[in-house]
Amino acid sequence: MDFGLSEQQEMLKKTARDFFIKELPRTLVKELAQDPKGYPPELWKKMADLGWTGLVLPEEYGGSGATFLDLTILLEEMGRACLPGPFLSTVVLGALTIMDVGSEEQKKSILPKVAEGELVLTLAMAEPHAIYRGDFFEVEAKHVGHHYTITGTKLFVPDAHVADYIIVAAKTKGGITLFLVDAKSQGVHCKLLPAMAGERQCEVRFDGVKLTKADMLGAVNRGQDYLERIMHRAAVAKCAEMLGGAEQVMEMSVQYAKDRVAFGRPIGSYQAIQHHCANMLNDLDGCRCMTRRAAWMVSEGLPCAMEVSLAKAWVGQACHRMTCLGHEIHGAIAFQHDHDMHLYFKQAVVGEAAFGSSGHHGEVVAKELGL
Amino acid sequence: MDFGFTPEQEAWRQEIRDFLKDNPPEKFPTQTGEDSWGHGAFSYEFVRLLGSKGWLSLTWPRQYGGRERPWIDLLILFEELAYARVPWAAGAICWSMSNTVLDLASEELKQEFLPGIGSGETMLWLAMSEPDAGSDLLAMRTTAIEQDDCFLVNGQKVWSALAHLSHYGFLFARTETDPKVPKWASISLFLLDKSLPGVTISPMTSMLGDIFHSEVFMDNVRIPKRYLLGEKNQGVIHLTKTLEFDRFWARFPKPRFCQKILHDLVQYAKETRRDGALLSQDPRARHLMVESAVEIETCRQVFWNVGWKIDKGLPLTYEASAAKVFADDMGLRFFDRGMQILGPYAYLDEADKWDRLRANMRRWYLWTAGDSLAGGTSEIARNTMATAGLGLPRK
Repeated sequence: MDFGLSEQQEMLKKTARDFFIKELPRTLVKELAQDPKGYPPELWKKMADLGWTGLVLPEEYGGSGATFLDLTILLEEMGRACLPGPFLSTVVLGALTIMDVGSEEQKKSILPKVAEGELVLTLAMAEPHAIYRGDFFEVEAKHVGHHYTITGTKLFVPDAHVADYIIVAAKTKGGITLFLVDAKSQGVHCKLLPAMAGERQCEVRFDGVKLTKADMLGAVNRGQDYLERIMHRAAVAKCAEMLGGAEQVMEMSVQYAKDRVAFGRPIGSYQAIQHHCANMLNDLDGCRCMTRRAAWMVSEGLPCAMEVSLAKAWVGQACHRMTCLGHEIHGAIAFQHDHDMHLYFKQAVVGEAAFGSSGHHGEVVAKELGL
Repeated sequence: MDFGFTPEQEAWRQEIRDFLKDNPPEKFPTQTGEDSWGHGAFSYEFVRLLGSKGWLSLTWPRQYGGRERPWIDLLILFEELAYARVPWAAGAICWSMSNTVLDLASEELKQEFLPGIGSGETMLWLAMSEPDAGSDLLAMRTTAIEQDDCFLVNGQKVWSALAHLSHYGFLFARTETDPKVPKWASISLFLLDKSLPGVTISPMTSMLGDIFHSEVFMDNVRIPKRYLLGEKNQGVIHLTKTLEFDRFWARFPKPRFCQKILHDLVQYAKETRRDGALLSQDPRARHLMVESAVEIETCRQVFWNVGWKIDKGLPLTYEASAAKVFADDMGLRFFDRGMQILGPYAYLDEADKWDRLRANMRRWYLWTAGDSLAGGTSEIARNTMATAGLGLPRK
């Protein structure tokens, strides 16, 4: 048993924190929320140069061979910095899926470019009538002759507007199958959805997109199993981002409570404020323990459906409580656009809904309990 | 990071489970029905059996009969005993006090007390709160005046848990009465033999209708000097260094204990029909159980995190207070949800396989009215978290 970070993890965390303090001021985060792309490609390139887009990929594909657990430490800092852009989509949804189930050829052609920072990937799963349940998917890949033709609409596809490849989970005769679709293929139509926290989600319509068997990712009809593992990684990655944000909210709020004077005393000396801070601290410690344990289990390849869902359910609710208290402590000033607190308030609500809400994961917990 | 257990630790867990299978806790006679952790009881016989196995002194040095096992092994023991709901009320607290004896007592006192504590023959209770000194502990008025070969003690303690079943009090008393001396430098710690002349133990009937706490009256009690624990007038320092962790140890078993009850509730819901459907399919009941599962396991991980820090010898500031708040908030919500799941059936008086769950749930629910107050109120604990943990100003 060891709840601590390794020396390398501490170093990665520090490098990442310093990097974002220098390269990503919150003013830039707010500007990027209005930017059509939603992220600065120069920053993306610098992150790739630091080895982050390939962090978790094996060295033979141009990566550094770090673990998923290491990756979540980096994601914590990204959440803390409110980094917008397709990092989670590219690395967690895209590259790790290809690593997991892709053919050697697919790995060789895609992964080194991800490590170089030259490709953006994402995954299309949810639909108007199905969020995470493959048995209700309507997007279909029809097998016609030597081809597959994909038709239908996917929703909430993160960063599809800038993606080079979209992994699509589609219904096939006998199950769900994953396909690797070139985003520039004829018949792929992408529309941005309204955003809350600078995130970019799209509606992606597939209008008879023609694919071959070589575009299939993994085995035919095995998609549901793959999606389960993808969801575990994605949910934990999101927890890690939210944990990083929560740490920042805790620190900002405590600092403000020490600095702000009312009735002649720092407001942090009043028990009402102290108790808000104490409640935040317990929520935060819970987020950290649950996220890191789930990340460790995913990293070790252990069965972890229960632990991932317990973590996502806790983190989703705890971050909501924490950011509400953060606003409470900061008072009206944090309602201003200039302030940073609201970035985290927004990030928390978007994160709660991403890769399974607390309700969705609660249902997983119910099943695991035997209910 | 590594959230797993070693094969040796897993084998240790299995050894405890095998022991509990061979010695079903419910088969032991009990001396009190009042208990928040067990199936409602404290049993000398069971605790002495633990003692005979060397499990009450697991982490102690060998010279005092201990096994010098790591803290993690002790935490595993506590979890397994909690899940089996053994009749060991206040066991973890007693253990925490014995640890303080190890830290502070003279060699002579260690030789005198530790064998008895380790075998389960000697039990300690905490004599700290007074009628006008609860959260404001330093306002205590019980005095222990040094004279001749003893300290002469006069005063009254209250909320002394299980004092009526225990042998020695872990007594805090004022040894310096000069008002110019700061309060924190005027209190000392003693082992109080309850058979000394002038000690009166007066059991208190709780809102549950039975006895857990006692009032302790001390009228010209002469405590021999050698029963002073640690240094004179340094009791408050000792308190913050050692007994602070009471809050942690006393509650470490709680999440695992709650998990066992949750698992019982799940089974109950799967076997119980209400209004034409299984209770396990009722969306509201499912929600209540899921919320509990999430909160209990998070609490459990937070406790393991603190336990790991203790095992590593890392410095702690706010963690014991935070763990107390976490566990007691969790318990308050969990047992309320348990009562909601049982609904009016909680009050059914029928001898069936769920009668103990119903009776215990009613007791546990009532117990939660005191949980946030025990071991220092949750408000005081939050103050500690904010000041010692987060560095917020006291004034």
